[in-house]
Amino acid sequence: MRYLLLTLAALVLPATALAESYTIDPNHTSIYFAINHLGFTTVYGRFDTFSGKITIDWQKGTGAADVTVDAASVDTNVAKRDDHLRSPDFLNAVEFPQITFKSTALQVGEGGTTGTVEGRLTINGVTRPVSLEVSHIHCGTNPLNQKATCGFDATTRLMRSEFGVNYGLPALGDEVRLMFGVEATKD
Amino acid sequence: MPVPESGFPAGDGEAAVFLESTMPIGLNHPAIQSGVAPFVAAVVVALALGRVGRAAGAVAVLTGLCVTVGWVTGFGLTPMTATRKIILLGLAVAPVAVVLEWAAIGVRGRVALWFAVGVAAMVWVGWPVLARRGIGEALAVGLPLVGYCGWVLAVAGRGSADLLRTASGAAALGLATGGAALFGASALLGQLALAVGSAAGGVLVAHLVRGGGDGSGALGAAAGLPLALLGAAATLYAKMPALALLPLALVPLAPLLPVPQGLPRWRRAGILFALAMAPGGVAIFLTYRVAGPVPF
Repeated sequence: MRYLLLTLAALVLPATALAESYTIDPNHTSIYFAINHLGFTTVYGRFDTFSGKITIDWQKGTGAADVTVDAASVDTNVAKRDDHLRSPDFLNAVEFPQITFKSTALQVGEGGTTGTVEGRLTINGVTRPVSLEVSHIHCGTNPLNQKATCGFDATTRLMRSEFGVNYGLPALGDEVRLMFGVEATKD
Repeated sequence: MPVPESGFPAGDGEAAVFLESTMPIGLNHPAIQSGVAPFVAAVVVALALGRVGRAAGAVAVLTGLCVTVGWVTGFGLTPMTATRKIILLGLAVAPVAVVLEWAAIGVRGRVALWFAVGVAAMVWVGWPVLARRGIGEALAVGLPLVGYCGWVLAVAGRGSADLLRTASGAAALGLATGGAALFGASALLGQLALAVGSAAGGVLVAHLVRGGGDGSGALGAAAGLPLALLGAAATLYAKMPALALLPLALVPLAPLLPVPQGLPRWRRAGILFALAMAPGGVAIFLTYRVAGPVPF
């Protein structure tokens, strides 16, 4: 019996020990979006308030990500436009205060510097599948605080109409590009 | 700010399509979608249904609202946001109001019924947000809103013997609510309110052209419910100050003020509309002072 338990522990423990948990550092993480305005230019904006957890199993190259964004934290550097974006016309931040992303599959590439994250994004109360392309994965020890840190970039494109955000189409672009620069500290 | 990798703006394919398809005064312009189109639609319907009498105004307002909804948001019900609830209620109230016109319900009973409907409608629209707040805050925020909606629908649904009064009041409430919502940073709520107001204006013009028609509570209710809900929603979900609801609540009362009957109908309509727009203008100004200029 004891031998069986030890064998089971030997099989289980190495796997769980390699599944590392990271907390997104909001001070060194950026979430940007880009959208076409009237066909003239691209308008950029960001979300200032968010939180999240990332779990990585480096041996298997898999993991999970869970991110929550405060919809009202949208910031395009124009206060009145930000008010408009928070209104029922777009993000409807009072009725749906959170934008969430929960991964369904996370795969790190063979070289360990790229990957993909599949997941479900919820905006305006509508949940749709999205796929993020991950690049520039780099992990190491932060020389300033000596904490194990990982960082990466990620991008994806979505059609806002699929999330029920229809106002202003087609004058204001339907396609929205999301860009992430993430730094996360090991728990 | 990040630079796109491709060097092109995001969604450039869509941009090209848009530029190719837009006319100088395009049908995509909000003034067309929320002003001209519902106005014309309401005039046509009101003139066509003139003989139907009491139902004509309500059906004309419903038609105008449908034109704008179809253009701006579509008739989809998912997700069932507060705005979609308002649209659904706005579409449903007109046929109900028409039926009630022929029902044997006295004025007091009708007023009480519409008040209850206005209260219940606002509770349904605002509940998901109010329920997240503490009970004290929910009551402090919610009670004025449900009271406003009940009041506006009760006064508007009461109607009057003179269609000029009802239509001018509804047109003014639409213009005032829409203008305040625009300054309150929601173009969508503003456009929907302006559409209802434009449609009521269309009914007014049709009545001035053809004459006749009963002063209809159905018209008042068909316009009053969506306008009340849109005004309340603009304070709850956008930046319109709740204080603006006070002058807006006076707008439906203005057409009840005495105006000399001997004046030509066009002049009476103008006076009634101006009387109703006086508190409406105060509401727009208040919102401008608090929320600032239009953001778009």
